[in-house]
Amino acid sequence: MATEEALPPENPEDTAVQELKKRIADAFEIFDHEANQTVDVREVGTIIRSLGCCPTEGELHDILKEMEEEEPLPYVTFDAFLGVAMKILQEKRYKPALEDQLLKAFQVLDIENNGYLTKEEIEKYMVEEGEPFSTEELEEMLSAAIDPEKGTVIYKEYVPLLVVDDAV
Amino acid sequence: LLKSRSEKRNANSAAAAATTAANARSKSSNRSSSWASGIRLRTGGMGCGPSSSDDASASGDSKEKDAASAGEISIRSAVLIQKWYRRYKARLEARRRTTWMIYQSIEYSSESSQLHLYNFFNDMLSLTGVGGGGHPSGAAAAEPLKTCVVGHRRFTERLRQLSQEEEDRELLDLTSFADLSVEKSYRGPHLTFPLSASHVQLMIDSFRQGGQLHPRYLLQLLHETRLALRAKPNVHSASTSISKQVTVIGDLHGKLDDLLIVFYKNGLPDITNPYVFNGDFVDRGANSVEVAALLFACQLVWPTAVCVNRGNHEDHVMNCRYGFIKEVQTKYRHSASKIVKLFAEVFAWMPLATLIDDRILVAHGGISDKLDLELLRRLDRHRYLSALRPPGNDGEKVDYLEWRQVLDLLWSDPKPQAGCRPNTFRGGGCYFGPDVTESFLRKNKLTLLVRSHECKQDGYEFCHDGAVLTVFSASNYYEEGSNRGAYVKFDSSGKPHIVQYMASRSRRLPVGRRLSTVEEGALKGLRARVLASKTELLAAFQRLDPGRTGAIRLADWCQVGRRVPGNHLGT
Repeated sequence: MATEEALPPENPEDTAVQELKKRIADAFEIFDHEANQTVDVREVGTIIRSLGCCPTEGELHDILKEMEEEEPLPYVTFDAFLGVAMKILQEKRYKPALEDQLLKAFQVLDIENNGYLTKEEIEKYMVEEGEPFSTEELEEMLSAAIDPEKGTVIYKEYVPLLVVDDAV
Repeated sequence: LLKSRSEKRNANSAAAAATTAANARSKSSNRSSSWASGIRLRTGGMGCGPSSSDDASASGDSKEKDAASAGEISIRSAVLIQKWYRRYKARLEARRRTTWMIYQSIEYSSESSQLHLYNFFNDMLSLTGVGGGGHPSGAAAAEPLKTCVVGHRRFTERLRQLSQEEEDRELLDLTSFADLSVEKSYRGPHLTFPLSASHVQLMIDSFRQGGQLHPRYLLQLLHETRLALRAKPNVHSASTSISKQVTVIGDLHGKLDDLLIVFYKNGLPDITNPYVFNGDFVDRGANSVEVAALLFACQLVWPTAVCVNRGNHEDHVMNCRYGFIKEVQTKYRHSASKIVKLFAEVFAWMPLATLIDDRILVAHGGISDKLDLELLRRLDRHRYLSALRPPGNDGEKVDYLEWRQVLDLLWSDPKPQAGCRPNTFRGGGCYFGPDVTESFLRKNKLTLLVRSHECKQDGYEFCHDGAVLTVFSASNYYEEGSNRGAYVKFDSSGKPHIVQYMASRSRRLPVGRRLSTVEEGALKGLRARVLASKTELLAAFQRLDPGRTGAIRLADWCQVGRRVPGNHLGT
C-alpha cells in the first residue's frame, strides 16, 4: 500500500499554486467527457467562467486565441488550457463587476426610470445590443426574471438572485 | 457616468447612429474565424473593459459626443449584464455536471458493492456446502439475503429438473391463487381471463388513483404471462410492415406517472401502434408492481404488438436490494412469497432482445466483442434466474461464453474509448467502444443499436457516431427535476423520432432553483457515503494531521477519499 504521508510542508506560495492547479484541473475534468485530457472548444468559455472569471465574448475569443497552438482545432488540450488559465487566475483578469454595478447597468437601460424593464425592452437590449443573446439565452433569462403577474423584470429583485446563486 | 434623463432621451435617437458607427469600426477589427462560429460573437458587439471608449465619438460636436457616449454606455451596460448572465449560467452548468457525476458514482458503486456482497455470500455458502441442502449455523445477519438467495435458488433448481408439464403443475401448486377469493370490499380492477383492452383501461384508471390489483388477479396475470412469454424466442422479431412505425420505451423503474404519460402521449398499444419495452420496469420507484402488471397485461391483450425485453433489474438478486421485493411484501403481505416466486419465473422467461425489421437491435444494456446472435438465439434463457449467476449446481461446468451473452447484453455500457473491457464501475458486463459497435453492426447487417440502462439528462443520447441510441424513460430519476424521460418512435425506414417529457411541475421552476433541489439530493447521498466510511476516513485524516489541529489540506482530503476502499469519494 502506498505510503500515506502528507505532502511535504511547502511554503505558502507553492501550496497556493498547487491548489490553483488542482482547481483548474477539476473544472476541466467536469467537461472532459471522453476522459482524454481534451475539451470541446465551445465549452472553454463555460469552464473559464465556472472558475469565477467574467470575460465578455470578445475577451473569450482572445483567450481561445492564446490557447490554441498553431491551427485552430475543435478541441483544447489540458496543457494548453492550464497555462492560459493559470495566468488569467493569478493576474485576476476578468474580475466580475460588483453587485451595485450590475444594478446600475439595469438602471441605465431603464430610461424612463420605472424601476422595471418590460419584456420588450429586455429583449431589445439583450438581443440587439452589446454581445447579443441567443433565443435560448433570452428565454432562460426571461423565465427566471419576469414577474409573471406584471410581465416585467423588476431588476432590483432580480439582481440579488443572480448574485446569491453565484456565491453558493 | 450616468447622464441626466433628458439628455438621455435626446441621445436615444443618436444612439442608433452611434451604434452603427461603432459597428463599422469594430467590423474591421473583428477577428472571426470559421471554427469559432461556435462562440456567439456577432459583429454588432463591441468588446468592453480595457478596450477603449473613444471609438464612438464621431465628431467634435460636444452634443453629439455626449449622445454617442450615452449610446455607448447603454451598450456597455448591456454587455455587463450579458457577461454576468453568461457567467451565472456557466457556474450552474458546472454544478449540474458535478451533481450528475455524484449521482452516477453513488448509483453504480452501490450496484457494484451489491454484486461483491452477493458474490461473497455465494462463495461463503458454497464453501460451507450449503448449496444442496442443510442450514448453515449462525450468521444471523446474513439471514434475509440467505433466505432470499439460497431459498429461492433451491426452489428454482428443483423446478428446472422437472419436465415442462411437471414444472407447470408444481409451480401452479406453489403459487396457487385458487383459494384466494376476492372480497366484496375490494375496490380495485376486476380481471377476467382472457384479458381485453377494457381490462387494461380499468387497471390504468384504478392505478392512477392509487388502487392496487388483488393478489388473486395478480397471480393469475403472472401465470398467463409466463405461459405467453415462454412461447417467445430469445430474440423477438418486430416488424413495421403493418403498423409503419414502432415505439421503444426505456427504463421505467416503477414510475407509474411516466408510463401513463407515455400512453397518454403515444396511445395504448395495438396492432397499428406496437411497442418495445426495453427492461428495468421494477425497482427504485414506488409502483413497480403496477408498472409490471400493466405491461404484462398489454402483452397479453396485444401479443404481437408488445414486446417486453428483460433488463438487469428483472432479476431476483437485484430485486432483493433495490426495493421491488420490499414493495411486494408491503403491498401483499400474505401472498408476497408466492408473488415474488412467480415474478422471478416470469422475468426468466422474458425475451433478451428485440430485432426491429432485421435492422435495429433493441436490448437493455448493450453488446460486447463476444456477443454472438446465433449463440444468443440458441441458449435456454430461462435457466438464468439471475443474469449474475450462471445456471447449474456447483460442480457442474459453467459455460462462460454462453453466460457472457446474457450478462453483457443486460449490463454493458457504451464508452468513447475503443475496445471492450470489463465494466468495473458496475461490476457486471462490459464497456464497449465504437469499434466494437461498428464491427457488430456490420457483421450482423444492422443499422442501429438501441439500449437503455443509463440515465440521461435529456432522456436520450446518441453515441458512437450515431450508431448507438440510449433511451431512458424514467424522468426525475435521481431527484425531482434531475432529468427528462424520453421514448423513440421509428418509422418503417428506421428513422428515429424522439419525444421527451417530465412528470412533474418542476420544469416550471427556474433552472437555478431546480438545480438546488437536485444538488441537495446528491449532497445528501454523498454525505451518507462519507458517514458510512467515517471510521476509516477519520483514521486516515488523523495520520495526515500529526499536530492534531483538526484540519488538513484539500488536496490531502481528496487523496484519502480516493484511497478508502469501496468508495469513489475522491472523484
